[in-house]
Amino acid sequence: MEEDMLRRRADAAGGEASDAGSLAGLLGCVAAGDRAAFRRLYDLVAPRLFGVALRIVGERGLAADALQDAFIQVLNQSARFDPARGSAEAWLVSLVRYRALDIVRGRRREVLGFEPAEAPLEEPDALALLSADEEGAALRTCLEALAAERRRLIELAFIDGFSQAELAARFRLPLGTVKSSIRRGLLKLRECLGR
Amino acid sequence: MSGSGDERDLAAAEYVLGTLDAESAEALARAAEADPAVAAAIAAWERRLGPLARLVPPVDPPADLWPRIAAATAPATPPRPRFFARAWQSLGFWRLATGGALAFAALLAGFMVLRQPARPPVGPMYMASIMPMGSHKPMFVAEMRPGRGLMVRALAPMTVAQGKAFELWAKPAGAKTMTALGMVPASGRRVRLAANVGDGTELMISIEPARGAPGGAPSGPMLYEGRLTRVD
Repeated sequence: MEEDMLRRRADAAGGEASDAGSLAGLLGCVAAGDRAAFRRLYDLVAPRLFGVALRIVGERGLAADALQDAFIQVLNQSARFDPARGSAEAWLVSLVRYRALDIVRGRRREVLGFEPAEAPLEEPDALALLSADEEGAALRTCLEALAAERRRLIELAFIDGFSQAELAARFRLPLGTVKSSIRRGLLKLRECLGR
Repeated sequence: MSGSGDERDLAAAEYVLGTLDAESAEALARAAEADPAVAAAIAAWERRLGPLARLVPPVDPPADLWPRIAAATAPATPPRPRFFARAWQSLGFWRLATGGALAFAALLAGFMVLRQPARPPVGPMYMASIMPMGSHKPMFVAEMRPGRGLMVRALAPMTVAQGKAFELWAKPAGAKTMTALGMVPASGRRVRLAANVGDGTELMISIEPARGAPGGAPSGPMLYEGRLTRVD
């Protein structure tokens, strides 16, 4: 079946370049009100997006909340997705990350003493997974050109949802130093990626 | 790129990275709604940093997640505001509704004792899509798990007149008066309200003075409504 094929292909490639076109196509169908396409999209990307949300919020129930909110937004905003501006994958990941970040930001205010989960130590070849396509490979090259600590700040913020204050605590750096180090790192990335 | 343009681009980068505080992030998201240049800067950073998400291993989501999403996005049964408003005032309606609800609950309880599968550890989940009276487009979503409060949010940023705000009200099944649950931000930020209301509770949102309705009863028009129903 076509659906199985899509899924297998996505699994095989870790969901990168090979299904980029089909994700954008599915979003187009969702925008046109196709409920079956909405379901296919969910089946195709939910495990990846759930992984991303779970890493940030650290709890399955909250990660499910983030995904639910994000998919409601996908349905309401799919017409706003513009393939010319970026990949469907990046758009979906962003929706989920913002919801997950909303949750941890809210939770930090509500629950006194909430500590984010300890982030795993970085493995030597951690960035190898990025090299599956051109965009990822370029990002890897540019990340590896950054000073190790600066790169780690950016990874922990993006992947694990660490706030600046948490990064400052973790690296025992003043908050202002964390902020300016991240900003310098981001400027270098922009320059290195050249777009 | 000019100095202020660079500053704006860095703010967009920090927004995508997730290191802006909640208020600045909210302000930037609002700016992106109004200013295509901000939206484009954000999209460019999403494209640059997006591949980092591939470093996270996929995890299968809970099996009940798709049913929840399907329920939250399903076109709702059409509400009947005029009948609803008239019936609301009528004692007979409430006698009937209460009797009916009790009988149904008893039936359901019996049914569930027989049919109850292994219960998920988080407890039941209740949800309401809160829609404008006479329309099917959800504007707010409320979710509740017993003991975890009621999470409410506008699905998209909304505008409300200066000095006014949205207030959420509950009318539990069978109750005659409305209880104020709290203010719901128009920005779309999620709030957790310390409410513990049950299945079938009617949730309504009115426009009130920014600090809430004086005297604990709604003073403004009820604009949105939805019914809390169990979804798992």
